[in-house]
Amino acid sequence: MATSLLTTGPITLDPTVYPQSCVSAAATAYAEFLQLNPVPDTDRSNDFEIVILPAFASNGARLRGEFLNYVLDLSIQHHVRCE
Amino acid sequence: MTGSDQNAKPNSPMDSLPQGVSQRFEDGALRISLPLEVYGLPALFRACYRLTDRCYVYLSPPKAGLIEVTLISKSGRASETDPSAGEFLNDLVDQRLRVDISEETRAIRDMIVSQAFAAVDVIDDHGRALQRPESQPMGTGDDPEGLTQWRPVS
Repeated sequence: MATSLLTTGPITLDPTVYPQSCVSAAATAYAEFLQLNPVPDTDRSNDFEIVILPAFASNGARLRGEFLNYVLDLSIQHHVRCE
Repeated sequence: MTGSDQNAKPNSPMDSLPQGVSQRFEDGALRISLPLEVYGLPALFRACYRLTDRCYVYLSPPKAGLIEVTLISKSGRASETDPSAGEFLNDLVDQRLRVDISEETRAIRDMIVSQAFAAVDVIDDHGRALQRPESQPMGTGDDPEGLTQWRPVS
């Protein structure tokens, strides 16, 4: 799994797709494993850094991937409820 | 058929993508770009959801009417994303159709649910809306049939 999406770099969670409430809820749910920090020094408030906590560093890529699926899942539920 | 045709490699189904759709394999991930106007976000969400057991799925911010879906196989084997992509594109059409049919049949579904909970008949045996008393006007706005207002005069 070489993709940088799962290893390094900031990620954009656009509110059209990922509502802010869902991003917050997912960050809270995964707080035990990772931190979701807004990228500093940027105007783009939808850019985040995913920081894996040291105890889970060996599973970092998997955790990032599972977090992305989880926030997508919450967002889909949100959109379906609003339809 | 010429000799060069005979030696040509058969095309993969993924070589002929629908108009407006493009894909590239990059950095261990399959990235599919889709026109939102054709598929729509509701169908896209549903199709993505069905892949989340096998792939990590990420949706990039929509730009100029296009949205990019990134699929990364959970197994770590990049080759497994190819069949998932084909399945995803088929499912996208399926989900779009379901969304359209759901919209088209919303009124009749609402009427059936209204009938199920109403104290009086709001539809006849053939599913047609019954005439309401003149004292009770039709609804407006979100409820043009006035289904939520129509109650027997006590």
